[in-house]
Amino acid sequence: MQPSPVVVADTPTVTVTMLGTSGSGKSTFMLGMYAILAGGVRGYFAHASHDDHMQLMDQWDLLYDDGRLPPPTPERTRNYRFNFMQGIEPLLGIDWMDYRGGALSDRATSSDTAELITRMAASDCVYLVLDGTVVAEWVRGMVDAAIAARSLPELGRLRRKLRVEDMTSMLLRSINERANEGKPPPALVVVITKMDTLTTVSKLPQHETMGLVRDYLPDLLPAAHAEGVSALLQPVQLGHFGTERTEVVDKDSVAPRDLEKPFIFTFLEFLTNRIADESQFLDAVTKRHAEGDLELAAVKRRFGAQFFQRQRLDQLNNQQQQLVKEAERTRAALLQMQNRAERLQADLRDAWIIRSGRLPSRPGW
Amino acid sequence: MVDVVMLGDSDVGKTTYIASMYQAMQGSTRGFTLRAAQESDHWRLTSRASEILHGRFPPGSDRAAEYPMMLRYAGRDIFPVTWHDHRGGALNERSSSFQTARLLHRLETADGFLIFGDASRLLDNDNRSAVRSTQDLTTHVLRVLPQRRSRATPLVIVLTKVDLIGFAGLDLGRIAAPFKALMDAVRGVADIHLAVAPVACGPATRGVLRPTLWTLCFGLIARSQELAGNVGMHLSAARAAAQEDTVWRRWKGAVRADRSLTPRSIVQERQERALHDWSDVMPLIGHAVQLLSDDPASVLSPARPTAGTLAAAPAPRCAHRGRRYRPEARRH
Repeated sequence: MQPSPVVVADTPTVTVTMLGTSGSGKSTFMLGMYAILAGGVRGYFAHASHDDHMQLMDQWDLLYDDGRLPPPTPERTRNYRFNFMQGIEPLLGIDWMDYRGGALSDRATSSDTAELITRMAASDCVYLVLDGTVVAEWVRGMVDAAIAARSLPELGRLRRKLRVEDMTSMLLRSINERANEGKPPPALVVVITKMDTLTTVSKLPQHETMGLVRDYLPDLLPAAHAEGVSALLQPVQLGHFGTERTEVVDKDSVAPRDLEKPFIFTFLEFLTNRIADESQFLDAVTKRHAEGDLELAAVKRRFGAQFFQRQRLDQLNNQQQQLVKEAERTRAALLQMQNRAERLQADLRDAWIIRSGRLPSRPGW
Repeated sequence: MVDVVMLGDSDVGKTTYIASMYQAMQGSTRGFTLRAAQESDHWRLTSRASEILHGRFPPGSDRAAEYPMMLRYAGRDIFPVTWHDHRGGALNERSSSFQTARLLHRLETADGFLIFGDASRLLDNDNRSAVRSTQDLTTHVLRVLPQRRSRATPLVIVLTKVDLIGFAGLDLGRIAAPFKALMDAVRGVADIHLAVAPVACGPATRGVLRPTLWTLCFGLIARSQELAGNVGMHLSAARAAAQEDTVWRRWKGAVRADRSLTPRSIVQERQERALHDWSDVMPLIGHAVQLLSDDPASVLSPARPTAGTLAAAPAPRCAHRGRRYRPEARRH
């Protein structure tokens, strides 16, 4: 007997790849995100296969009971299949790949690096995980030096620490390959982990720290501002664990925050692309219908059309009826998707979503 | 056949519950009784129940157990129902374990779910294992529910050992709070019928029938839906055959030795089968309404059914004339 299938039939699946340096908190972020969504948050749920669920929840128990952080991503990559749901309605299947930090910087001959390059081209969404402590240290450095103008040397150091060049290079390659296949660029989720350290390290209020990150994002991560790219800039935390790199933390300080938002954004982006596709299809149907009307009128004007052009008229009338039905079906589907997208946007109202480099107004962090 | 899966951690009281419930269903409950299909199960369950009445509780299951039973009404068999008890730990093991794989498969095919939670443990906010267990149960159930849309599914959260807390001033909302996410997820879903039932088994047994009656009621509804689907299928086939039923085909059928395959005979056979299934549906609906006619107020249900909501599918129509069948007019 086989374990139950995870992804419910006819649920669309998106491919998600998570990148980040060793120690950036990738595994911890993924663990926290799964654990809170498995129990349900604001009506959203996620579940993995039985075995993956047990493994992840056992790790979560270790953190909650003993303060043990999950071990770093092992030498091999880990693949998970998640089902993202709202209530009992399946929204999206998520094919999730977690790479070890080193895969980013190794040569393409390394097996998982080669796999990562291939995977990037197939990814609908890429999660870039940035270590919040490193980001906050950079903010502190800028403030200490009282640098008024943009400080590219400072930024250069940060980019090297976060391996942003490697991420950008992989992203740009993915954007180009997808464009060649007629696919949109992958959506980006810029996850800033260890949100609790942003304030303690930068010694600035969180909204000011994040404001600086947002202002410098075009320089820090140019791919997030590329034309056609949608990016969510989202700080998250699993708890108040401080800045010390340790395997064991105070178990009472576990306090997850905003971990569900990346999944909500992933679904919103999937829906946005579907809305664009369906709108395009509706336009094409409407155009064909208008052309059909013209042709019908032209045939009717011909002498004795009702007798000599009967077959052609019937054919055109049938075609027009089919197009009307198709347009009605598409409009109904579009309306449903737009309503759902509005609800998702409401759930992300405090989040920063950058579309084609355009920044929204500042949310209330 | 209705399959009911009982889910819950070790020592939550599943084995105790099934014995107590079986004993309680031996006396007529609104005319209904349950009878184990195997004599050995009958004796095992009744002797366990008698021990429980004396305050001696059975140890937890060390293996999965199935109890096939027959639901009877006024001495007549209504339909078979099987209760699936499993070893508590089976939920926490990997799917390579045979019992876990079997349980996961059973979850997919089950017609109803009884989810057990120990009331005293659920009240303890610091009890991490109870929290984890609740979360796992929620995930297990949510994993299979989306695949069952449009199929009536009873889902009962059975709060056990309530006698340890006391029934007086019972705050069900607080005890069932760890299941809130699950309850919210299924709230308003038309085909998922949720109930929360506090029970106590022992010398002062209380509330054990409620989860069973709820489950059996919706088991009956699901069975009637299935039969109503069969009625529709037979009628579609009859309608398709009726279109082929021409004078020429009748003549051709008449000269052939085997007349059973003529369109006319197919129409007749399908109409008979539709009528037969339909006559089975109506009593089931009636029984289901009766089972919940006096639903105790302490069973919380966001989607409590009424006779109106349990209305059956429209009666089948004659393929030829669109006339409604009347089951009582069926020829025997």
